[in-house]
Amino acid sequence: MADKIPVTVLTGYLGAGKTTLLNRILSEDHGRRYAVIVNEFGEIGIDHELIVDSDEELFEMNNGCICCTVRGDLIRTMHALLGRVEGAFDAIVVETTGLADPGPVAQTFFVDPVLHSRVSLDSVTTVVDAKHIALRLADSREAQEQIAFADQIVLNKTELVSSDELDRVEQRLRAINPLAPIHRAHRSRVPLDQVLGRGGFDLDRIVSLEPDFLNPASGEPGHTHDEHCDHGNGSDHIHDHDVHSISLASHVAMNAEKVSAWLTRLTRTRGPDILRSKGIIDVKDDDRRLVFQSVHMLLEGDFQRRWRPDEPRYSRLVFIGRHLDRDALQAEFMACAAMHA
Amino acid sequence: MLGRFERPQAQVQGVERVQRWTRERFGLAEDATVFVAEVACALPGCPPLETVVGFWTDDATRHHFKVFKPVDDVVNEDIPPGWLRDALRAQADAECSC
Repeated sequence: MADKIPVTVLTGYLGAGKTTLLNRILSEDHGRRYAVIVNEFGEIGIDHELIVDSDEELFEMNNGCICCTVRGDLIRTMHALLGRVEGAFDAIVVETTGLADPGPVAQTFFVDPVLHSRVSLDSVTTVVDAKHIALRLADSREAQEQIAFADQIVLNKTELVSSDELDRVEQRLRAINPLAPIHRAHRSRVPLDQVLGRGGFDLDRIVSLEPDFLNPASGEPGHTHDEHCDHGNGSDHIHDHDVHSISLASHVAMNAEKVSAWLTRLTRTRGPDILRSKGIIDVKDDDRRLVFQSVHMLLEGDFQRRWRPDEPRYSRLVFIGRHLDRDALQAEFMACAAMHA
Repeated sequence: MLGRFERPQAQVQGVERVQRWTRERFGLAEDATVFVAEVACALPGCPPLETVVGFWTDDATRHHFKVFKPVDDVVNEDIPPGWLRDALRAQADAECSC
């Protein structure tokens, strides 16, 4: 992974401030040379020799199924970039249009073996306009998916809303995506060392990225209250077809083979609805933690470090998507418990 | 058990093989982009794994075809004949059920 070129996908609805953040990345003195792929030139104010324009081209590999859709323009542009002189750039930023669905963008980097061997998707960073995001979430499928796919969210234009409104917006974002940290910003000013080099899709870093991941959810035994709590999480008016998140938990150790088969089946059959998932699983008779993540139907998992002696062993899974029936999924998950083996 | 997104080396070699055959069969330049991916298909009647190949003859023209077997099992004879090139062109808004 260390030798791969990191790719940051910048997404966000029209007018959210993506280009402002991109200009900051390109102009700041961080010593890195970026190649930039944009779908619309917008107002990039930087004279930069490695900006490549490409027209969004969806490549549906399988009957229009979103799980098997990649971005043809990215494949061509990335292959061309990687064919350049080695060392011409250190990292890549892809700025999508405001109406782009980030799913096919992310999938492109995992489905194409050539790209996967040369580059690593570092993060999907979503820029959000604090003033208008509530309206966008109500009327735009793309706006919801951009939040759902985010590894981190830059909550921009915070000066345009009151402190209470800002809290409500954060709660709404957390109801969709409880995993992505939120950076509040004015004119997209965020510390770039927090935004870049995140390793958002690196299975080995899943837990270190979200230290609260194993904090039981609100209402569960052992839950501790902090600023990340999403009580009354703004989900009052969420409909089934809206993107939302659910969390499953268990204090009972799982059967590794059963839970692997269930996750494989679940992502295969429900891939269009399950946009992203992550989880840590306590496996019976194994000292290591089983971790997994998925992007639609693409699923990966592996055993990670050992549980520490002072660490409560416990499983937690988070699914982000549509039509997610928490009780049904919890029952399916519990059917994988080792006691049923 | 679950595995990593990382492809085994054997599969990468299979991909490179199919890329080379596709370039030869359709007379593509050495630097033409050829996309090869092994896709798990959940649709009824589909084989569990199939190989999808896409290539571009210019910026706006994508061609694609499928071989209904894993990439490791694809042989040179599975690549469509060169004279089919135009028929493999992706149509706007058309689904790839080829």
